[in-house]
Amino acid sequence: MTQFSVAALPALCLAMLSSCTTLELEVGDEISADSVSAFRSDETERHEVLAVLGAPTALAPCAGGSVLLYEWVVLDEMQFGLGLDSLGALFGVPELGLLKLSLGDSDAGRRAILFFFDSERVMRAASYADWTEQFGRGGSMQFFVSVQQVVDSGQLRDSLRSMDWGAELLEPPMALLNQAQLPAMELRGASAGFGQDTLAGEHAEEIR
Amino acid sequence: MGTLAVALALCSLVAGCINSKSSRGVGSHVDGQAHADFVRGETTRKDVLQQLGPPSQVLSMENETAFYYVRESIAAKGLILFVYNTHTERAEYDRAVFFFDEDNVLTDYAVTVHEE
Repeated sequence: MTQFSVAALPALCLAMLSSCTTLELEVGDEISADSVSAFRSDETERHEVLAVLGAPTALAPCAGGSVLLYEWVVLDEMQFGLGLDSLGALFGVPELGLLKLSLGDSDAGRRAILFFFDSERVMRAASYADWTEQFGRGGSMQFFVSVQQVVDSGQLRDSLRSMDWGAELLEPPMALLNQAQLPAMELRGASAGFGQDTLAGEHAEEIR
Repeated sequence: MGTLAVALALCSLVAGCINSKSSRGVGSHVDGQAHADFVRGETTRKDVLQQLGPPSQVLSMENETAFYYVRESIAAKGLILFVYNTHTERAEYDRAVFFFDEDNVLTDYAVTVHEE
C-alpha cells in the first residue's frame, strides 16, 4: 500500500463517518459434546453429573423423575455504520451529519444438554445439541459515536426464570391458574405462541 | 502524512472505553467453600438453610425437594475507536442446587461459582 493510500484510508473513513462494530454476548458456561460422552444411560447417577458439570442452568420435575438442563449461548453481532453527512449536505440539513445509519447482522451459537433421571436418580437419557442460527438482521439510526445492538436479542438475554420466582404469584389470573401446566424449563428463545405457553394466552410472555 | 496525523488526532478525540459490572439475585453466601461441610446422606435441609439462607427457588419434585440458589453477574467492556468499535458482554450465573429426600436429608448437590 502506498504512503498516500495509507493516509487516505482513515481520512476517507472519517469523511464518510463510516465504521464497523462488533458486539458479543456470552451467557452461561461453555459446554461441549465431551461433557456428556462420559455418562452412560442406566448407569450414571445424578450426583456424578452434578460433580462434573456443576449446578445446571435449569431443572424441573418430570413424570417419574427429574430433568437437568445445561445451556450456553454466544451471540455475535456485526454492524456497519455509515455517516449521513453527505446526505445532509445534499439536502441542506447539516444536522444529519451527527447521525449514522447502522446495519447489523447477528448469529447465535448455541449448545445445550438435557439429562433425564428416574426417581432413583439414575440417568435414563441425555441429549446434546450444538448449532448456530442466523439470529436476525436489523438497522437503526443513531448518534454517530454510539454503540448499541440493532438486532433484538432479548430472547437470549433474558435472565433465568429462577430470578423471578415469587413474582409469578402476582400475575393475572389467566396466567397464575395455568402456571402448573406451563413448562418449568425450556431453551432460551423458545416461542410463546406454541405448546403449553398458549394456556396463559396473552400473558405467556409476561410469565417468562 | 499530515492527513494521517489529522485523522488519528480526530480519532483520538472521540475514542472511549466502557467497563461495567452488575449483579442481582440471592446467594451472596454461596461461594467456593459454602458446601465444604455438606455431606450427602447426612446434611439436612435445616443445615443448608442456616448456612446459605433462603434460596432463589424451591422446586417440588416427585419425592424430593430442590433448593436452587442463583446470582447473576453481568460484566461488560467496550472500546470506541470511531472507525472500529467493539463491545463484549458476559453473563455468568453463580448457582447452587441441593436435593433433599422426603426425610429432609441431602441426596445430591452441586455448587458452581465463578472467580471474581
